[in-house]
Amino acid sequence: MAYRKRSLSRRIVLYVCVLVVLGFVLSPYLLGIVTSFEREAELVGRPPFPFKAISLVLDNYMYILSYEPFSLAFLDSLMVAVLTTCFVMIAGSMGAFAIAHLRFRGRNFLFNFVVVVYMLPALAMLIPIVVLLKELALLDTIVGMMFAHSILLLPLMTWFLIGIYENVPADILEALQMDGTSRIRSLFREVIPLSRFGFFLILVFSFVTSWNDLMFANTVGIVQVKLLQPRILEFMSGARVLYTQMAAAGILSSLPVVALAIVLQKQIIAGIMKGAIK
Amino acid sequence: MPRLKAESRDAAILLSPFFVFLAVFMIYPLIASFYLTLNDIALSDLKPVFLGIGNYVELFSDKLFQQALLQTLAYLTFHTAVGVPFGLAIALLFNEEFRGRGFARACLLIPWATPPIVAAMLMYILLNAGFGPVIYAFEIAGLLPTQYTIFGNPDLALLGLAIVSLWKSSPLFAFIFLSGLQNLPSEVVESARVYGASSVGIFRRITLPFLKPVLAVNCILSGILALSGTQAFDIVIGITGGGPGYRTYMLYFLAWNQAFPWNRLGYGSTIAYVVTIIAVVFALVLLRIWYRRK
Repeated sequence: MAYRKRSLSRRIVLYVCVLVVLGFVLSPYLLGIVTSFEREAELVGRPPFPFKAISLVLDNYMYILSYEPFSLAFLDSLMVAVLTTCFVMIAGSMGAFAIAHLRFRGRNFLFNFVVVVYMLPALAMLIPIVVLLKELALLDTIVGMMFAHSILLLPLMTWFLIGIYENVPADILEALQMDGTSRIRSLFREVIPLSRFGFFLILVFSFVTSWNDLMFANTVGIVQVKLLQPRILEFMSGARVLYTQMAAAGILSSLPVVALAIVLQKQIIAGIMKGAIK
Repeated sequence: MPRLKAESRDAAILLSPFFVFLAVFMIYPLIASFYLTLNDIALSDLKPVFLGIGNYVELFSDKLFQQALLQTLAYLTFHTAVGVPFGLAIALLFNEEFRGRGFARACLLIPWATPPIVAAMLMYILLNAGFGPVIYAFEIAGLLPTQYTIFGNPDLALLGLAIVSLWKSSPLFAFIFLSGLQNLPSEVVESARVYGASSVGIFRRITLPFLKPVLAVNCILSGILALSGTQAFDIVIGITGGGPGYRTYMLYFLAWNQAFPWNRLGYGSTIAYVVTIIAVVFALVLLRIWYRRK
């Protein structure tokens, strides 16, 4: 791109606008982080930060990390998010490969159906799902939660994967066929390694959606499986923890997903360009 | 033909996990939930009492439903008409060259990745009347009375929630627009500039038409998020819990409340069906406007 010299005033305007947007995006976090390092007594007194000094104590983090309802929920959420991501990747990959590269009756119908199903509000499914899981004895279990979260993800992720697999040239698959490799084997041995860059989008999207979900987690998990986001809601509505501790819990619970999104940012852009928007 | 047959067989094997899941956990529940709309049924005993269209008739006399419907439409309109253009503006800004552009772009993913309930909490801390600095700043500037609460004010609570969802959504829209802008052919823009086209002209004649498909994706995404996504549930339950005085009830939140806390699965499903219909109409109207312009 040719470099154009901008006038000084234009540059100042540009930087001011960028700072305003960044301030808007980051201010809730900045304040949340400050709050999590405060003492409660100093926090609730007025005037508020940034109109007075902050105390910088680690007590809130120590308390939250040793508070069992939080740490157990953190581990449960991690387990559910990993399992959901694996399930969506495997079931989605197999289905998407078939829709992208094999000819069979009802292929186009299935492709459109996947999109329409994604548009439907999950709540319309949630209500019978709770009844169904109750009858299958899966209500309030990790596996039940994994299935519930897959409802949110499988159609859309399959749709993304179809876009990714369509980029794999059909010639390669034909050549493999000539060599006598079965189609199902060629999916796992060739197609998946070839399209691994597209997977990061699926990976991040699935993990983040499962980790962040509140509605399903709050309804499918009741006593045995209490995930992280319902716990945070409990902190917010109950009086069991202080504001400063609540902020520490919030920062900790968004750490894995925010870190994942930032670390894999470039791969996400590549995935959006290849799969989602064409 | 044996080749095609083998292909169908392989397709069947590959599609079976996907299809079994879809049938058991999505298609069956959708049909079952329609059956639920015809019944009065509680989660505690699961004994349906057949009502016919009774639940649908009740919608017409249910004042809370009508209020939630209007509030949902207002929220949806704000989320799309303000959120998407704001996202586009951020994208155009971050498409310029400046120091730290990579960092700035990465920051756009933070609100999206943040758990919505944590977003609700952080925004509550930022905007609360007691120790929230924003309100305090307005207060010492003499613009607001002492300890003014946005979320406790019946007339402002919904707008407050809309601003929270703006924080969550518009950076995501911007990120998606930016991904689309990377494919914009820079030669075309440069040559237009050489021939004396103004910035506004380039935006209207080149950039905007180029971004049309991305704009469609963002508008539909905005509709899903505001109608039946986290923006219609997590943020409401986290900040206002529907209050003050039902002024921030959305249909989605109402449907969930009817079904679970109030133990009316049938009526809750009925409202969820209404949300479904609005979502489909919203998407169809958008696509229609789209294709007519083309």
